[in-house]
Amino acid sequence: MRSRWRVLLVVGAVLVVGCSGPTGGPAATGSAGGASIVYAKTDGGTTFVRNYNVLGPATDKAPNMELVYEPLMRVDYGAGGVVKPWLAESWAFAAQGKQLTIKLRTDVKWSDGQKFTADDVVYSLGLPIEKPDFSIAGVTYKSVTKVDDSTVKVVFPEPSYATLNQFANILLPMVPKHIWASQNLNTWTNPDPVGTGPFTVGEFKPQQITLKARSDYWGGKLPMTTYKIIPTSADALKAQLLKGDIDWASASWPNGEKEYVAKDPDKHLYQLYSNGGAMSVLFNTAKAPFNDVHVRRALALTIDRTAVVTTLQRPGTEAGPTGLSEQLFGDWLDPSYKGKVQKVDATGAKAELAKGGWTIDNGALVKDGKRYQPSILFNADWGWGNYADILINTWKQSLGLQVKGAGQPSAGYYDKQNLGQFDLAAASTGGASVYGVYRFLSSQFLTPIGKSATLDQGRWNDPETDKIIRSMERTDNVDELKTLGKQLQKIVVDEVPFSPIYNNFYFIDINATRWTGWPTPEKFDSIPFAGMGPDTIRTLLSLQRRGN
Amino acid sequence: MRWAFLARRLGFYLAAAAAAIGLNFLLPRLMPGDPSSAIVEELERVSGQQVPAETLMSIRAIFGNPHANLAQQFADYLRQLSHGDLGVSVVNFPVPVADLVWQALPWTLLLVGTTTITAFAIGTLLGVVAGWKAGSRFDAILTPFTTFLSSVPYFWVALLALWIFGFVLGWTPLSGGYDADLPQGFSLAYAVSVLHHGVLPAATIVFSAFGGWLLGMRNMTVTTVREDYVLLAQAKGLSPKRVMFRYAARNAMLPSFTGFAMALGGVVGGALLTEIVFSYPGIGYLLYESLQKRDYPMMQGVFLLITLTVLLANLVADLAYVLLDPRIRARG
Repeated sequence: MRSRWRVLLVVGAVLVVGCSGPTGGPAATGSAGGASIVYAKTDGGTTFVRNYNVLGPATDKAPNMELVYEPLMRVDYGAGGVVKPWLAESWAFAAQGKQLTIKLRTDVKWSDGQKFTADDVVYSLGLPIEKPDFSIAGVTYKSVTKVDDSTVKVVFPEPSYATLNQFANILLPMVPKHIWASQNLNTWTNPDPVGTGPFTVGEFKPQQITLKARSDYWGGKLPMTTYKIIPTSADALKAQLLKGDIDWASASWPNGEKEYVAKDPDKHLYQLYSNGGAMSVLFNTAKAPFNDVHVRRALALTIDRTAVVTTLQRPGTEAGPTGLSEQLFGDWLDPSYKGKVQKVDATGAKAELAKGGWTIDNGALVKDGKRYQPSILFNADWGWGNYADILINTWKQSLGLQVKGAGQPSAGYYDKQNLGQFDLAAASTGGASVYGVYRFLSSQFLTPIGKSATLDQGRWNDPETDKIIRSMERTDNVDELKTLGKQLQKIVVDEVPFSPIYNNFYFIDINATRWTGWPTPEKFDSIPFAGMGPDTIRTLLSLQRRGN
Repeated sequence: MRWAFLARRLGFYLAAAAAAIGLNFLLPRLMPGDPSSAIVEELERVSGQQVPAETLMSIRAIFGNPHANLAQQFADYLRQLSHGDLGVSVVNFPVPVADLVWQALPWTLLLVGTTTITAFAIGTLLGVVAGWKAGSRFDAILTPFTTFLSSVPYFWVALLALWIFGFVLGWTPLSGGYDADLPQGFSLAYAVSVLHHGVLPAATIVFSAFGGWLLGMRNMTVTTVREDYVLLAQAKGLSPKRVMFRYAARNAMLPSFTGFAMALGGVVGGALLTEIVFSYPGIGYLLYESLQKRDYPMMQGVFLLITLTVLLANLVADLAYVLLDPRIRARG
């Protein structure tokens, strides 16, 4: 009744009589909602739009769609990013990796009661081929056919062991053919989605979505009856977490250890899970002076990674020299690079420059009478100016090299990066699996400077790299993949096509007052991040009500 | 005379509206980048894969081809507009922009509309009193204080208020426009929750805005008080209240009134900072989001709506002026 009292205090005595009746007031419906879990979304604006056209090109769809529509497979981040079954029970490659036969689970039902079959899979996987504007997941196969009711065959133009994870992409979910096939996907917003996932849409309001748990979900019984999604701002979120209004959110909280966890270490959880990506310095290897490995090494040796993560208030997230996070790729890392963070080594860097015949004169790199004064491109919208300044200062102090800062708003930043109009660029690198992290270095993505590139913006062109990447695409033997992965690590460390600065993370904020059983970064089978598809579902399945 | 004046004003506003529509069409097309490439870029970022050329073509088929003949594009745009079609939002494809605008508009009108009127009423009233007794203790304390208030950055006031009343005291909700657990509709509980959610954002807006009205009104009243007709009214022995409001304030209000009409026109634009701090579901936030995500159709739709309402409010102010101030009719 206390909150009711406050309401009355605010709106005044006139309304006191009107709404203090014994039943049906706001407080009654608010807190007694049974086994409900509340997720607060900070990056989706103040309102949600009822748009479950999952395969369309919208970038802002209804949130947590992955609880309704599921992919065929999932990526196991805890095990180095390998692909595991989900709606697909098993699969096998044939014809040197150009043919994939997928066996489906037979116990899966759509939320309208119909059976999930090979027809649905053929339709869902076929849509991106039939309608390329719906190819948001960027598929690489060229055809899909039905073998029997629970088997489909996918054909690729190239050996494709390494691209299996496209079937684990939540942007390529399975949709019911019996509903989708008759719709005009260019105008249909699919307001009442029917999926294979554990939830259906109960009530959709722009400020709160209530998903209802299914009782016939193939993956098991959920411990909650409803899942609520509310929009909030980054500032309000902190207060809501501290007050216990919400159970779960995904937002970075610099100083969260002190401001949040310390207040109740048992129930206030703030977790960081590596997402396999890193913030790196990308060298434009297609132009002087960064086509010279000695210059690249010298600059990589004089990046103060610790200063950057200190400014970010994220101690311990410095990237190792390979750009592979140890949290995810522990088993795949070459032992000689484990636990290593490059320290600033001015002497070593100067020796490298001397080896390449470079001197530094008046702030510029000089060789054969030519002067180069590089600049570093960064995204000004991300507030990257601070970190760029740290790099610029360290290069100035340790080498005497004056690098210019070239901040750009997002639009200009991507344009310049893709066109190769930069010397150095602060850019994200990374992906799922070792192959996923390094794939962008393949020269198959190479374009000349001035022509837009989607990957390989640093214009890395190395036959050795290409050979290893191609071999990775042609095998699914784990030991062989590990060996190839180590060869790639060596190239990255020795030749420095890019130099990692710090690892990127999924930030997870949990208030475990109502729900326990959350995964922790020390021990996880799935990452408790809303929006991770099957991982999110697995997290929800693992929770328990506290107290009863 | 009066009709000729009106016709001329109407003509002017029609021309301004046409220019606004034209600019609204042209400006996004003069900006670097185009929406279809923006989508492609976003898709590539999300999927980490190169998007095939066919995708770009079909996206252009949906959102318009930026390389088509400009006159052709303009004709298409006008044809769309005449059907009340503001296009399809890029980031929310295939949701029409008009749907998004209609969803956000009532919240903005409610919040910014009532606060604009309240701030104007409070500020003007206090301004008259302060100006009438310029130099009195009331004036000497209130006027510098409001000057100080108007110079405090709004977002700071809003954040502080949210922290104190929302978090520390727990009197008001931390975000949103209503208690989402309640069924939407005309129920008392729902109305109470709307008020409960709106009171803090509204209070911060009024708190930061009334000072401006107060200062303007005070200064105009100070000048008006010295006019001969006010002295005459006083000399006639009319009650001070009557002289203050019917003689001084009524005339001093004219400039404030124009400002008020313009402010009403601006209501539709929303209160961007308020909506961001309090996660209020209005137009201001919609515009902010569309700018951030380069959602050109949404941007254009919101801009057009704002421009047209400002024009309409100005027209209304102009017409009201004709009634309020006889000098305009004489010159017209």
